[in-house]
Amino acid sequence: MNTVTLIPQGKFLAFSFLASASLMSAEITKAATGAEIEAQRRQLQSVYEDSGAAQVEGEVKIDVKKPSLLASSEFLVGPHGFTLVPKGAVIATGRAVAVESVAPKGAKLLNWSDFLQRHRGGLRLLPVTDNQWTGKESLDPLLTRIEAAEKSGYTTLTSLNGEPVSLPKIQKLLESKE
Amino acid sequence: MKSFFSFSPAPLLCGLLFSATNLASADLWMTSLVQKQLDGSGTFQTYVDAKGEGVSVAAVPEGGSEFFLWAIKYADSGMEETLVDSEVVGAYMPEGTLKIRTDDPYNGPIPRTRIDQGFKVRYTVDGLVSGNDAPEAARQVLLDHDVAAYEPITNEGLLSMIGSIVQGLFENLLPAVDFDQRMITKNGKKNLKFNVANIPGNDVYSDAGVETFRLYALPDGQVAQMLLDEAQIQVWPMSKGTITGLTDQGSYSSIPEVRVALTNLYPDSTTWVQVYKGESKPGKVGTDVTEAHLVVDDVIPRAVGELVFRDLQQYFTDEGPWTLEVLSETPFGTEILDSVEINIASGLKLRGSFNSLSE
Repeated sequence: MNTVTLIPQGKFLAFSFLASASLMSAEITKAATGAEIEAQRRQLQSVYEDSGAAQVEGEVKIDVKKPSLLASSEFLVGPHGFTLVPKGAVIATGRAVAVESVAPKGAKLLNWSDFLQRHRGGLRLLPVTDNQWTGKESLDPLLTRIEAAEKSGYTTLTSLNGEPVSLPKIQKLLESKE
Repeated sequence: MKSFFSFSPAPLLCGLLFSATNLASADLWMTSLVQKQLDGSGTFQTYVDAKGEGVSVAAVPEGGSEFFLWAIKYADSGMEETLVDSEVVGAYMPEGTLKIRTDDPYNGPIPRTRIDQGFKVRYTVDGLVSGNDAPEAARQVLLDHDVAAYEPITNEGLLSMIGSIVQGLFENLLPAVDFDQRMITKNGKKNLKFNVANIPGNDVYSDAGVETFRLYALPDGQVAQMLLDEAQIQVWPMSKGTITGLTDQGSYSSIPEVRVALTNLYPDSTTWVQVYKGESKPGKVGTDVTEAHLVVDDVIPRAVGELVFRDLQQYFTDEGPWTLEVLSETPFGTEILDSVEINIASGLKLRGSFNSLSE
């Protein structure tokens, strides 16, 4: 059969070759009408009733915020590039590595490991244990080290197994001692 | 792109398999795995390779964690982020998945169907507990169904859709409308079979849109409402073919110019025109009068315009009843879009022939 193929942007491309005209499909039916479709739509509610799922009383409000990595991160910026860490991971700001709320222009994005290696002179990590991360141990023992970090002149982050971690309870700890 | 998380009964560590390998220009992107405690007590972040497997570096507490696999890039326009996948892991979290199937075998970002065609939604729920002592969030999950229509599909509307595809959907969707909400209280698999699509509208030849199904875990104390899974289906309008120039049951001694107007031909469809002697009989194989079949090789319906037949006399070789039909073959089968029966009277003369395609 001769075939015109419709391709994007509405260009028509015609092929012509010899073939016998023959129809391929088995059953040919009349297209449904609007009235027939409307009649089927009136039966749609029974789909849910037949499933056994319980009807909601009133309406359940959906309150799930769309996640955003950028909105929940801070940007550590140094002379060799920048990286993203969870908001609240930084507990002290130093001179060599700045903390920004947006990505700096013209700087190079680095992963955490590369950023740490290149800015080791201006960064410090305050490790937390697995039990402190899961809430099984108190964060109080960190208070002294946090106070020291604030006076150190280094940008200090809480970390777990060498990776940045944010623990809102530490912020509350700092607020409570003020 | 799918990440899988296995959960152990002693929820200290979690095995992770992640993949973000479908990113274009993968070397420009970085992938980051973020773990958030469901009770809001902490966020852990690490950079990972685009594809890999490992044990989570941070333990999963009893209250559970949500994992996010992000791809990020620093472009001239600023930072870009793409959520590749997410998963919730917890000791007492219900689990739920959604899957939509249609008769269209299209393997695009989301499945598609037509307004008059049905589709199936399979939901699978696990981890629900029974008993009035259990918190509400442990006893049931919410199934939310909403529908969003595209602005009426016109020739101009179709042209404006070109180039504005975002992950398989087009950006000119009207605001979504709630269709139904149900509480699922039993573990297991269930199918919802819709015989037609649920997109609102008044004209099946232009109604189109997107239906979205979501499963939510209910909020529980410090743990917020959680999206467990989401599935979408894209719905296109019915195709329309209209024959003009011949009157149904009319009598002709000479065949005038015939036009066939075609709109919204379905993606991956083939359309043509045939004639045969006798009264209309669906399924009858006739003579193909279309110099070129119309094949839609696109992901959206196509508005074609008109086929013009200036001399069909060569096909009407005898007196008596004849049928002219417009046929369209789609993934749902072959349908007659329009047909007209005429009577050929004596005195029909044969002339030279050609037909042309006009827009």
